[in-house]
Amino acid sequence: MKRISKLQIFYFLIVLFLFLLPLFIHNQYVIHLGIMTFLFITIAIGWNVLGGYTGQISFGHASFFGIGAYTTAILWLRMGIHPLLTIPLGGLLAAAFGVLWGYPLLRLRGYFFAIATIGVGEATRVLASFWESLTGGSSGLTLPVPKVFSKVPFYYEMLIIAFLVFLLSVWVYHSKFGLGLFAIKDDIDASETLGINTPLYKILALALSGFIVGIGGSFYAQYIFYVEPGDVFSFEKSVNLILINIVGGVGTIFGPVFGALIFLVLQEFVLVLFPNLHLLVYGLLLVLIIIYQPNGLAGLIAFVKRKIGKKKRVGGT
Amino acid sequence: MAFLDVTNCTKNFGGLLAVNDVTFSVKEGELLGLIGPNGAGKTTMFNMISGVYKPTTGQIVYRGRFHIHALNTHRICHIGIARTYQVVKPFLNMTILKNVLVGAYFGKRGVLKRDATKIAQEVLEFTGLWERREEIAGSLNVPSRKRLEIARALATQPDLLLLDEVMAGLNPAETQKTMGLVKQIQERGVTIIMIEHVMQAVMGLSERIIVLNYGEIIAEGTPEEVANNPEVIKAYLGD
Repeated sequence: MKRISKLQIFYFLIVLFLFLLPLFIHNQYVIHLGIMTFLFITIAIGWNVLGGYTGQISFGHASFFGIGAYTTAILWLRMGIHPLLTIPLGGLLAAAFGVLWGYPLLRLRGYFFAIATIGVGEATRVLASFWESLTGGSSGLTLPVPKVFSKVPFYYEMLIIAFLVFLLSVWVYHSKFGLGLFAIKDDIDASETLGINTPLYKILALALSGFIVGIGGSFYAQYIFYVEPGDVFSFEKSVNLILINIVGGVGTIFGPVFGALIFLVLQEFVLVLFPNLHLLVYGLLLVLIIIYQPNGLAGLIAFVKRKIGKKKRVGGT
Repeated sequence: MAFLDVTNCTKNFGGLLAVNDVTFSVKEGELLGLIGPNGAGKTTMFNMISGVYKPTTGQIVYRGRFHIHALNTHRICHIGIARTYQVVKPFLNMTILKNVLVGAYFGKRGVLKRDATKIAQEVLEFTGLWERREEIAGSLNVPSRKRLEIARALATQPDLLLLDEVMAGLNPAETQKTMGLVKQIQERGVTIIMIEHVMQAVMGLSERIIVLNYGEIIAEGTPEEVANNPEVIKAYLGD
Protein backbone atom coordinates (compact mmCIF):
# COMPACT_ATOMS: atom_id res chain seq x y z
CA MET A 1 0.00 0.00 0.00
CA LYS A 2 1.16 3.50 -0.77
CA ARG A 3 2.11 5.77 2.08
CA ILE A 4 -0.28 8.66 2.61
CA SER A 5 1.56 11.96 2.36
CA LYS A 6 1.00 15.02 4.54
CA LEU A 7 -0.37 16.82 1.52
CA GLN A 8 -3.04 14.17 0.99
CA ILE A 9 -4.10 14.48 4.62
CA PHE A 10 -4.29 18.24 4.15
CA TYR A 11 -6.54 17.86 1.07
CA PHE A 12 -8.70 15.35 2.91
CA LEU A 13 -9.14 17.72 5.85
CA ILE A 14 -10.19 20.56 3.54
CA VAL A 15 -12.81 18.39 1.82
CA LEU A 16 -14.01 17.11 5.19
CA PHE A 17 -14.25 20.67 6.48
CA LEU A 18 -16.30 21.72 3.46
CA PHE A 19 -18.67 18.79 3.95
CA LEU A 20 -19.18 19.55 7.64
CA LEU A 21 -19.44 23.33 7.24
CA PRO A 22 -23.27 23.54 7.04
CA LEU A 23 -23.54 21.64 10.34
CA PHE A 24 -22.05 24.44 12.40
CA ILE A 25 -22.58 27.48 10.17
CA HIS A 26 -26.21 28.42 9.80
CA ASN A 27 -25.69 31.79 8.20
CA GLN A 28 -27.46 31.53 4.82
CA TYR A 29 -25.18 34.14 3.30
CA VAL A 30 -22.05 32.10 4.02
CA ILE A 31 -23.73 29.02 2.57
CA HIS A 32 -24.66 31.03 -0.51
CA LEU A 33 -21.05 32.19 -0.90
CA GLY A 34 -19.92 28.60 -0.65
CA ILE A 35 -22.37 27.53 -3.35
CA MET A 36 -21.29 30.31 -5.70
CA THR A 37 -17.62 29.51 -5.09
CA PHE A 38 -18.13 25.85 -5.96
CA LEU A 39 -20.12 26.88 -9.03
CA PHE A 40 -17.40 29.20 -10.26
CA ILE A 41 -14.69 26.64 -9.54
CA THR A 42 -16.63 24.14 -11.64
CA ILE A 43 -17.19 26.33 -14.67
CA ALA A 44 -13.66 27.78 -14.47
CA ILE A 45 -12.30 24.22 -14.58
CA GLY A 46 -14.51 23.68 -17.62
CA TRP A 47 -12.95 26.66 -19.38
CA ASN A 48 -9.47 25.54 -18.33
CA VAL A 49 -9.80 22.17 -20.08
CA LEU A 50 -10.09 23.94 -23.43
CA GLY A 51 -8.27 27.22 -22.77
CA GLY A 52 -5.63 26.07 -20.32
CA TYR A 53 -4.90 22.48 -21.28
CA THR A 54 -5.44 22.72 -25.03
CA GLY A 55 -4.54 26.39 -25.51
CA GLN A 56 -7.73 27.25 -27.41
CA ILE A 57 -8.88 30.51 -25.83
CA SER A 58 -12.66 30.86 -25.87
CA PHE A 59 -14.58 34.05 -25.24
CA GLY A 60 -17.87 32.25 -25.79
CA HIS A 61 -18.21 29.87 -22.86
CA ALA A 62 -21.27 31.67 -21.52
CA SER A 63 -23.11 29.96 -24.37
CA PHE A 64 -22.53 26.60 -22.66
CA PHE A 65 -23.60 28.01 -19.32
CA GLY A 66 -26.77 29.43 -20.83
CA ILE A 67 -27.63 26.24 -22.68
CA GLY A 68 -27.23 24.25 -19.47
CA ALA A 69 -29.42 26.75 -17.61
CA TYR A 70 -32.15 26.81 -20.25
CA THR A 71 -32.14 23.02 -20.62
CA THR A 72 -33.01 22.70 -16.96
CA ALA A 73 -35.50 25.57 -16.98
CA ILE A 74 -37.39 24.35 -20.02
CA LEU A 75 -37.43 20.65 -19.12
CA TRP A 76 -38.55 21.44 -15.59
CA LEU A 77 -41.14 24.05 -16.46
CA ARG A 78 -42.61 22.58 -19.64
CA MET A 79 -42.17 18.85 -19.10
CA GLY A 80 -42.03 18.56 -15.35
CA ILE A 81 -38.77 16.64 -15.29
CA HIS A 82 -37.06 16.71 -11.90
CA PRO A 83 -34.34 19.38 -12.04
CA LEU A 84 -31.64 17.08 -10.67
CA LEU A 85 -32.19 14.73 -13.60
CA THR A 86 -31.73 17.57 -16.06
CA ILE A 87 -28.15 18.28 -14.93
CA PRO A 88 -26.47 15.63 -17.13
CA LEU A 89 -28.82 16.58 -19.98
CA GLY A 90 -27.78 20.22 -19.68
CA GLY A 91 -24.16 19.14 -19.85
CA LEU A 92 -24.71 16.85 -22.82
CA LEU A 93 -26.67 19.45 -24.77
CA ALA A 94 -23.94 22.02 -24.15
CA ALA A 95 -21.32 19.50 -25.30
CA ALA A 96 -23.32 18.77 -28.45
CA PHE A 97 -23.61 22.48 -29.12
CA GLY A 98 -19.83 22.74 -28.71
CA VAL A 99 -19.25 20.00 -31.28
CA LEU A 100 -21.62 21.81 -33.65
CA TRP A 101 -19.66 25.07 -33.72
CA GLY A 102 -16.30 23.58 -32.85
CA TYR A 103 -16.22 21.46 -35.99
CA PRO A 104 -15.84 24.45 -38.31
CA LEU A 105 -14.25 26.93 -35.88
CA LEU A 106 -11.52 24.80 -34.36
CA ARG A 107 -9.75 24.89 -37.71
CA LEU A 108 -8.93 28.49 -36.88
CA ARG A 109 -5.75 29.02 -34.92
CA GLY A 110 -4.84 31.34 -32.06
CA TYR A 111 -6.43 34.78 -32.12
CA PHE A 112 -8.71 33.89 -34.99
CA PHE A 113 -10.36 31.17 -32.96
CA ALA A 114 -10.67 33.48 -29.95
CA ILE A 115 -12.39 36.17 -32.03
CA ALA A 116 -14.74 33.64 -33.63
CA THR A 117 -15.84 32.46 -30.19
CA ILE A 118 -16.96 36.00 -29.32
CA GLY A 119 -19.31 35.67 -32.26
CA VAL A 120 -20.60 32.30 -31.04
CA GLY A 121 -21.28 33.63 -27.55
CA GLU A 122 -23.08 36.75 -28.70
CA ALA A 123 -25.05 34.99 -31.42
CA THR A 124 -26.30 32.46 -28.89
CA ARG A 125 -27.38 35.22 -26.52
CA VAL A 126 -29.24 37.08 -29.26
CA LEU A 127 -30.88 33.86 -30.43
CA ALA A 128 -32.08 33.13 -26.90
CA SER A 129 -33.46 36.66 -26.56
CA PHE A 130 -35.55 36.41 -29.72
CA TRP A 131 -36.68 32.79 -29.64
CA GLU A 132 -39.56 33.67 -27.35
CA SER A 133 -41.63 30.54 -27.84
CA LEU A 134 -38.79 28.42 -26.44
CA THR A 135 -36.90 30.65 -24.06
CA GLY A 136 -39.45 33.22 -23.00
CA GLY A 137 -37.45 35.92 -24.75
CA SER A 138 -35.42 38.55 -22.98
CA SER A 139 -37.72 38.62 -19.96
CA GLY A 140 -36.58 35.08 -19.22
CA LEU A 141 -38.22 32.16 -17.45
CA THR A 142 -39.23 32.09 -13.79
CA LEU A 143 -39.11 28.69 -12.14
CA PRO A 144 -41.36 27.53 -9.30
CA VAL A 145 -39.81 28.35 -5.92
CA PRO A 146 -40.67 25.75 -3.28
CA LYS A 147 -42.50 26.96 -0.11
CA VAL A 148 -39.90 25.57 2.27
CA PHE A 149 -36.52 26.59 1.06
CA SER A 150 -33.12 25.75 2.42
CA LYS A 151 -29.79 26.39 0.73
CA VAL A 152 -28.09 23.44 2.40
CA PRO A 153 -29.12 20.75 -0.14
CA PHE A 154 -27.86 23.03 -2.91
CA TYR A 155 -24.64 23.44 -1.00
CA TYR A 156 -24.05 19.68 -0.97
CA GLU A 157 -25.21 19.26 -4.54
CA MET A 158 -22.77 21.87 -5.83
CA LEU A 159 -19.94 20.73 -3.56
CA ILE A 160 -20.23 17.19 -4.91
CA ILE A 161 -20.38 18.41 -8.51
CA ALA A 162 -17.35 20.66 -8.00
CA PHE A 163 -15.47 17.86 -6.29
CA LEU A 164 -16.19 15.35 -9.07
CA VAL A 165 -15.35 17.87 -11.79
CA PHE A 166 -12.10 18.68 -10.01
CA LEU A 167 -11.17 15.00 -9.84
CA LEU A 168 -12.05 14.67 -13.52
CA SER A 169 -9.75 17.58 -14.37
CA VAL A 170 -6.92 16.00 -12.34
CA TRP A 171 -7.42 12.74 -14.19
CA VAL A 172 -7.41 14.47 -17.58
CA TYR A 173 -4.28 16.41 -16.60
CA HIS A 174 -2.33 13.18 -16.01
CA SER A 175 -3.91 11.03 -18.72
CA LYS A 176 -2.82 10.23 -22.25
CA PHE A 177 -5.66 12.45 -23.42
CA GLY A 178 -4.28 15.33 -21.37
CA LEU A 179 -0.76 14.78 -22.68
CA GLY A 180 -2.15 15.10 -26.19
CA LEU A 181 -3.96 18.32 -25.26
CA PHE A 182 -0.84 19.89 -23.76
CA ALA A 183 1.15 18.85 -26.83
CA ILE A 184 -1.41 20.58 -29.06
CA LYS A 185 -1.12 23.70 -26.93
CA ASP A 186 2.67 23.80 -27.31
CA ASP A 187 2.95 22.94 -31.00
CA ILE A 188 0.08 21.70 -33.10
CA ASP A 189 2.18 20.81 -36.16
CA ALA A 190 4.61 18.71 -34.15
CA SER A 191 1.65 17.05 -32.40
CA GLU A 192 0.13 16.06 -35.71
CA THR A 193 3.43 14.62 -37.05
CA LEU A 194 3.82 12.63 -33.84
CA GLY A 195 0.54 10.87 -34.47
CA ILE A 196 -1.99 12.91 -32.50
CA ASN A 197 -5.35 13.25 -34.22
CA THR A 198 -5.42 16.96 -33.45
CA PRO A 199 -8.87 17.83 -34.89
CA LEU A 200 -10.43 15.02 -32.85
CA TYR A 201 -8.57 15.91 -29.67
CA LYS A 202 -9.49 19.57 -29.92
CA ILE A 203 -13.16 18.79 -30.44
CA LEU A 204 -13.17 16.30 -27.54
CA ALA A 205 -11.60 18.96 -25.33
CA LEU A 206 -14.26 21.44 -26.41
CA ALA A 207 -17.06 18.95 -25.78
CA LEU A 208 -15.74 18.11 -22.31
CA SER A 209 -15.25 21.77 -21.56
CA GLY A 210 -18.79 22.57 -22.71
CA PHE A 211 -20.19 19.63 -20.75
CA ILE A 212 -18.69 20.88 -17.49
CA VAL A 213 -19.81 24.48 -18.00
CA GLY A 214 -23.25 23.24 -19.07
CA ILE A 215 -23.60 21.30 -15.81
CA GLY A 216 -22.76 24.52 -13.96
CA GLY A 217 -25.43 26.42 -15.89
CA SER A 218 -27.99 23.73 -15.22
CA PHE A 219 -27.32 23.90 -11.50
CA TYR A 220 -27.45 27.70 -11.55
CA ALA A 221 -30.96 27.70 -13.04
CA GLN A 222 -32.40 25.46 -10.32
CA TYR A 223 -30.65 27.39 -7.59
CA ILE A 224 -31.58 30.91 -8.69
CA PHE A 225 -35.07 29.89 -9.98
CA TYR A 226 -34.78 32.36 -12.81
CA VAL A 227 -33.01 32.36 -16.18
CA GLU A 228 -32.67 35.26 -18.56
CA PRO A 229 -30.40 35.60 -21.62
CA GLY A 230 -28.77 38.81 -20.40
CA ASP A 231 -27.55 36.96 -17.33
CA VAL A 232 -26.71 33.38 -18.27
CA PHE A 233 -25.47 34.17 -21.79
CA SER A 234 -23.71 37.41 -20.87
CA PHE A 235 -20.35 38.23 -22.41
CA GLU A 236 -19.24 39.25 -18.93
CA LYS A 237 -19.64 35.63 -17.80
CA SER A 238 -17.36 34.43 -20.59
CA VAL A 239 -14.76 37.04 -19.71
CA ASN A 240 -14.99 36.23 -16.00
CA LEU A 241 -14.05 32.63 -16.73
CA ILE A 242 -10.91 33.83 -18.47
CA LEU A 243 -10.06 36.29 -15.69
CA ILE A 244 -10.47 33.62 -13.02
CA ASN A 245 -8.12 31.31 -14.85
CA ILE A 246 -5.52 33.98 -15.52
CA VAL A 247 -5.49 35.05 -11.88
CA GLY A 248 -5.42 31.45 -10.67
CA GLY A 249 -3.08 30.02 -13.27
CA VAL A 250 -4.03 28.98 -16.80
CA GLY A 251 -3.46 25.31 -17.55
CA THR A 252 -2.77 24.31 -13.95
CA ILE A 253 -4.85 21.98 -11.78
CA PHE A 254 -5.42 24.41 -8.94
CA GLY A 255 -5.58 27.57 -11.05
CA PRO A 256 -9.39 27.63 -11.44
CA VAL A 257 -9.83 26.85 -7.74
CA PHE A 258 -7.64 29.70 -6.50
CA GLY A 259 -8.93 32.03 -9.18
CA ALA A 260 -12.57 31.41 -8.32
CA LEU A 261 -11.89 31.91 -4.60
CA ILE A 262 -10.19 35.27 -5.16
CA PHE A 263 -12.82 36.31 -7.66
CA LEU A 264 -15.71 35.68 -5.29
CA VAL A 265 -13.97 37.21 -2.29
CA LEU A 266 -13.28 40.34 -4.28
CA GLN A 267 -16.73 40.41 -5.79
CA GLU A 268 -18.54 40.01 -2.48
CA PHE A 269 -16.42 41.99 -0.06
CA VAL A 270 -14.94 44.73 -2.18
CA LEU A 271 -18.30 45.21 -3.83
CA VAL A 272 -19.89 45.90 -0.46
CA LEU A 273 -17.10 48.17 0.75
CA PHE A 274 -16.52 50.13 -2.44
CA PRO A 275 -19.35 49.73 -4.93
CA ASN A 276 -18.13 50.29 -8.48
CA LEU A 277 -14.56 49.95 -7.35
CA HIS A 278 -14.38 46.18 -7.29
CA LEU A 279 -13.70 45.91 -11.00
CA LEU A 280 -10.84 48.36 -10.60
CA VAL A 281 -9.35 46.25 -7.82
CA TYR A 282 -9.76 43.16 -9.95
CA GLY A 283 -8.19 44.88 -12.96
CA LEU A 284 -5.23 45.98 -10.88
CA LEU A 285 -4.73 42.47 -9.57
CA LEU A 286 -4.90 41.13 -13.10
CA VAL A 287 -2.28 43.56 -14.38
CA LEU A 288 0.05 42.75 -11.49
CA ILE A 289 -0.33 39.03 -12.07
CA ILE A 290 0.24 39.21 -15.80
CA ILE A 291 3.38 41.29 -15.28
CA TYR A 292 4.93 39.50 -12.31
CA GLN A 293 3.46 36.02 -12.25
CA PRO A 294 2.13 34.94 -15.66
CA ASN A 295 1.35 31.48 -14.30
CA GLY A 296 -1.07 32.94 -11.78
CA LEU A 297 -1.38 32.06 -8.13
CA ALA A 298 -0.76 28.39 -8.83
CA GLY A 299 2.54 29.39 -10.45
CA LEU A 300 3.38 31.59 -7.48
CA ILE A 301 2.74 28.77 -5.04
CA ALA A 302 4.88 26.36 -7.07
CA PHE A 303 7.62 29.01 -7.09
CA VAL A 304 7.50 29.50 -3.32
CA LYS A 305 7.47 25.73 -2.79
CA ARG A 306 10.60 25.35 -4.91
CA LYS A 307 12.32 28.12 -2.90
CA ILE A 308 11.44 26.49 0.41
CA GLY A 309 12.46 23.07 -0.91
CA LYS A 310 15.87 24.45 -1.92
CA LYS A 311 16.42 26.07 1.47
CA LYS A 312 15.51 22.85 3.24
CA ARG A 313 17.91 20.86 1.11
CA VAL A 314 20.71 23.36 1.71
CA GLY A 315 20.02 23.38 5.44
CA GLY A 316 19.80 19.60 5.63
CA THR A 317 23.17 18.82 4.13
CA MET B 1 7.89 -2.59 -55.49
CA ALA B 2 10.18 -0.45 -53.40
CA PHE B 3 9.76 0.63 -49.80
CA LEU B 4 8.87 4.17 -50.80
CA ASP B 5 7.95 5.20 -54.33
CA VAL B 6 7.82 8.86 -55.28
CA THR B 7 6.37 9.15 -58.78
CA ASN B 8 6.25 12.35 -60.84
CA CYS B 9 5.77 14.51 -57.79
CA THR B 10 5.20 18.23 -58.30
CA LYS B 11 4.47 20.90 -55.72
CA ASN B 12 3.37 24.30 -56.80
CA PHE B 13 3.00 27.22 -54.38
CA GLY B 14 0.89 29.68 -56.36
CA GLY B 15 3.24 29.89 -59.31
CA LEU B 16 6.43 28.95 -57.47
CA LEU B 17 7.48 25.49 -58.57
CA ALA B 18 9.13 24.11 -55.42
CA VAL B 19 9.35 20.51 -56.58
CA ASN B 20 9.09 19.67 -60.27
CA ASP B 21 8.27 16.18 -61.53
CA VAL B 22 10.49 14.28 -59.11
CA THR B 23 10.65 10.49 -59.27
CA PHE B 24 12.76 8.28 -57.03
CA SER B 25 12.41 5.28 -54.81
CA VAL B 26 13.90 4.12 -51.54
CA LYS B 27 14.84 0.55 -50.64
CA GLU B 28 14.09 -0.90 -47.23
CA GLY B 29 16.96 -0.41 -44.78
CA GLU B 30 18.71 2.12 -46.99
CA LEU B 31 20.25 5.42 -45.87
CA LEU B 32 19.53 7.93 -48.60
CA GLY B 33 21.03 11.42 -48.62
CA LEU B 34 19.05 14.31 -50.08
CA ILE B 35 21.20 17.33 -50.86
CA GLY B 36 21.05 20.47 -52.92
CA PRO B 37 21.49 24.24 -52.62
CA ASN B 38 19.09 26.32 -50.51
CA GLY B 39 15.62 26.49 -51.98
CA ALA B 40 16.11 23.32 -54.02
CA GLY B 41 12.91 21.78 -52.66
CA LYS B 42 14.37 19.28 -50.20
CA THR B 43 12.21 20.22 -47.22
CA THR B 44 9.16 20.51 -49.48
CA MET B 45 9.85 16.92 -50.51
CA PHE B 46 9.92 15.92 -46.82
CA ASN B 47 6.71 17.80 -46.17
CA MET B 48 5.03 15.82 -48.91
CA ILE B 49 6.33 12.46 -47.69
CA SER B 50 5.25 13.20 -44.11
CA GLY B 51 1.86 14.47 -45.27
CA VAL B 52 2.23 18.09 -44.18
CA TYR B 53 1.66 19.15 -47.82
CA LYS B 54 -0.19 17.27 -50.50
CA PRO B 55 1.58 17.07 -53.87
CA THR B 56 0.01 19.21 -56.60
CA THR B 57 0.38 16.27 -58.96
CA GLY B 58 2.03 12.88 -58.75
CA GLN B 59 1.92 10.33 -55.99
CA ILE B 60 3.87 8.89 -53.11
CA VAL B 61 3.29 5.25 -52.18
CA TYR B 62 4.68 3.70 -49.01
CA ARG B 63 5.24 -0.06 -48.75
CA GLY B 64 3.32 -0.48 -52.01
CA ARG B 65 -0.09 -0.01 -50.40
CA PHE B 66 -0.30 3.27 -48.49
CA HIS B 67 -1.08 6.25 -50.68
CA ILE B 68 0.37 9.13 -48.67
CA HIS B 69 -1.79 11.85 -50.20
CA ALA B 70 -4.96 10.09 -49.06
CA LEU B 71 -3.92 10.00 -45.40
CA ASN B 72 -4.03 12.57 -42.62
CA THR B 73 -0.69 13.60 -41.17
CA HIS B 74 -1.22 11.71 -37.90
CA ARG B 75 -2.14 8.55 -39.79
CA ILE B 76 1.12 8.76 -41.71
CA CYS B 77 2.89 8.64 -38.36
CA HIS B 78 0.86 5.58 -37.37
CA ILE B 79 1.95 3.64 -40.48
CA GLY B 80 5.57 4.15 -39.50
CA ILE B 81 6.88 7.38 -41.03
CA ALA B 82 8.46 9.86 -38.63
CA ARG B 83 10.28 13.11 -39.26
CA THR B 84 12.27 15.81 -37.58
CA TYR B 85 11.84 19.48 -38.38
CA GLN B 86 14.67 21.63 -39.68
CA VAL B 87 13.51 24.39 -37.34
CA VAL B 88 13.04 22.14 -34.33
CA LYS B 89 9.61 22.10 -32.73
CA PRO B 90 9.96 20.81 -29.17
CA PHE B 91 7.04 21.09 -26.75
CA LEU B 92 8.69 23.96 -24.92
CA ASN B 93 6.76 23.72 -21.66
CA MET B 94 7.24 19.98 -21.22
CA THR B 95 10.16 18.04 -19.84
CA ILE B 96 12.36 16.01 -22.16
CA LEU B 97 10.66 12.87 -20.87
CA LYS B 98 7.17 14.16 -21.62
CA ASN B 99 8.22 15.29 -25.09
CA VAL B 100 9.37 11.76 -25.86
CA LEU B 101 6.32 10.24 -24.16
CA VAL B 102 4.09 12.08 -26.64
CA GLY B 103 5.83 10.27 -29.47
CA ALA B 104 5.72 6.94 -27.63
CA TYR B 105 2.04 7.24 -26.74
CA PHE B 106 0.66 8.53 -30.01
CA GLY B 107 3.13 7.23 -32.60
CA LYS B 108 1.34 3.91 -32.89
CA ARG B 109 -2.29 3.26 -32.12
CA GLY B 110 -3.37 1.85 -28.79
CA VAL B 111 -0.10 2.16 -26.88
CA LEU B 112 -0.65 1.69 -23.14
CA LYS B 113 0.94 3.81 -20.43
CA ARG B 114 3.29 1.07 -19.25
CA ASP B 115 4.56 0.41 -22.77
CA ALA B 116 4.88 4.12 -23.58
CA THR B 117 7.02 4.66 -20.49
CA LYS B 118 9.23 1.73 -21.45
CA ILE B 119 9.64 2.96 -25.03
CA ALA B 120 10.44 6.48 -23.81
CA GLN B 121 13.08 5.25 -21.40
CA GLU B 122 14.67 3.04 -24.03
CA VAL B 123 14.80 5.87 -26.58
CA LEU B 124 16.16 8.36 -24.06
CA GLU B 125 18.91 5.98 -23.01
CA PHE B 126 19.72 5.28 -26.66
CA THR B 127 20.04 9.01 -27.44
CA GLY B 128 21.87 9.82 -24.23
CA LEU B 129 19.14 12.04 -22.79
CA TRP B 130 17.95 9.80 -19.95
CA GLU B 131 19.97 11.58 -17.25
CA ARG B 132 18.48 14.91 -18.31
CA ARG B 133 14.88 13.72 -18.68
CA GLU B 134 13.44 16.16 -16.13
CA GLU B 135 14.84 19.27 -17.85
CA ILE B 136 12.25 21.53 -19.51
CA ALA B 137 12.63 21.52 -23.29
CA GLY B 138 12.43 25.31 -23.42
CA SER B 139 15.65 25.58 -21.41
CA LEU B 140 17.72 23.42 -23.78
CA ASN B 141 20.35 24.72 -26.21
CA VAL B 142 20.18 24.02 -29.94
CA PRO B 143 22.28 20.81 -30.03
CA SER B 144 20.18 19.31 -27.23
CA ARG B 145 16.96 20.35 -28.94
CA LYS B 146 18.12 18.66 -32.15
CA ARG B 147 18.86 15.50 -30.20
CA LEU B 148 15.46 15.67 -28.53
CA GLU B 149 13.87 16.10 -31.95
CA ILE B 150 15.49 12.82 -33.05
CA ALA B 151 14.54 11.07 -29.79
CA ARG B 152 10.92 12.14 -30.09
CA ALA B 153 10.70 10.91 -33.68
CA LEU B 154 12.28 7.59 -32.68
CA ALA B 155 9.76 7.16 -29.90
CA THR B 156 7.03 6.80 -32.52
CA GLN B 157 8.84 3.57 -33.55
CA PRO B 158 9.21 4.46 -37.21
CA ASP B 159 10.23 2.24 -40.08
CA LEU B 160 11.07 5.26 -42.21
CA LEU B 161 12.76 8.24 -40.58
CA LEU B 162 13.11 11.60 -42.29
CA LEU B 163 15.96 13.66 -40.81
CA ASP B 164 15.92 17.32 -41.82
CA GLU B 165 19.33 18.91 -41.19
CA VAL B 166 19.92 17.38 -37.79
CA MET B 167 23.64 18.30 -37.96
CA ALA B 168 23.19 21.98 -38.81
CA GLY B 169 24.65 24.26 -36.15
CA LEU B 170 26.52 21.48 -34.34
CA ASN B 171 30.25 21.65 -33.58
CA PRO B 172 32.55 18.91 -34.99
CA ALA B 173 32.39 16.78 -31.84
CA GLU B 174 28.59 16.94 -31.70
CA THR B 175 28.43 16.20 -35.43
CA GLN B 176 30.51 13.06 -34.87
CA LYS B 177 28.19 12.00 -32.05
CA THR B 178 25.05 12.57 -34.11
CA MET B 179 26.58 10.71 -37.07
CA GLY B 180 27.18 7.74 -34.80
CA LEU B 181 23.59 7.95 -33.62
CA VAL B 182 22.21 8.02 -37.18
CA LYS B 183 24.36 5.01 -38.09
CA GLN B 184 23.04 3.12 -35.06
CA ILE B 185 19.45 3.97 -35.94
CA GLN B 186 20.00 2.53 -39.41
CA GLU B 187 21.57 -0.60 -37.91
CA ARG B 188 18.34 -1.13 -35.99
CA GLY B 189 16.63 -1.60 -39.33
CA VAL B 190 15.15 1.86 -39.79
CA THR B 191 15.18 3.24 -43.31
CA ILE B 192 16.47 6.82 -43.32
CA ILE B 193 16.24 9.74 -45.70
CA MET B 194 18.51 12.53 -44.60
CA ILE B 195 18.64 16.14 -45.74
CA GLU B 196 22.01 17.53 -44.85
CA HIS B 197 24.30 20.42 -45.69
CA VAL B 198 27.21 19.10 -43.64
CA MET B 199 29.00 17.29 -46.48
CA GLN B 200 31.27 15.29 -44.23
CA ALA B 201 28.18 13.77 -42.60
CA VAL B 202 26.11 13.13 -45.70
CA MET B 203 29.07 11.76 -47.69
CA GLY B 204 30.17 9.60 -44.79
CA LEU B 205 26.79 8.11 -43.96
CA SER B 206 24.76 7.85 -47.16
CA GLU B 207 24.79 4.80 -49.36
CA ARG B 208 23.14 6.75 -52.12
CA ILE B 209 22.61 10.47 -52.67
CA ILE B 210 20.01 12.38 -54.64
CA VAL B 211 20.81 15.96 -55.60
CA LEU B 212 17.98 18.44 -56.07
CA ASN B 213 18.32 21.83 -57.72
CA TYR B 214 15.43 24.17 -58.51
CA GLY B 215 13.01 21.39 -57.62
CA GLU B 216 14.47 18.85 -60.03
CA ILE B 217 16.76 15.87 -59.59
CA ILE B 218 20.08 16.70 -61.24
CA ALA B 219 22.11 13.75 -60.04
CA GLU B 220 21.76 10.43 -58.28
CA GLY B 221 24.34 7.88 -57.22
CA THR B 222 26.95 6.89 -54.66
CA PRO B 223 28.67 9.69 -52.72
CA GLU B 224 31.74 9.48 -55.01
CA GLU B 225 29.69 9.62 -58.21
CA VAL B 226 27.72 12.60 -56.98
CA ALA B 227 30.78 14.47 -55.71
CA ASN B 228 32.43 14.19 -59.13
CA ASN B 229 29.34 15.02 -61.16
CA PRO B 230 29.92 18.28 -63.10
CA GLU B 231 26.21 19.22 -62.86
CA VAL B 232 26.40 19.03 -59.07
CA ILE B 233 29.58 21.07 -58.89
CA LYS B 234 27.95 23.67 -61.13
CA ALA B 235 24.84 23.82 -58.93
CA TYR B 236 26.86 24.36 -55.80
CA LEU B 237 29.65 26.60 -57.09
CA GLY B 238 28.05 28.27 -60.10
CA ASP B 239 29.65 28.48 -63.58
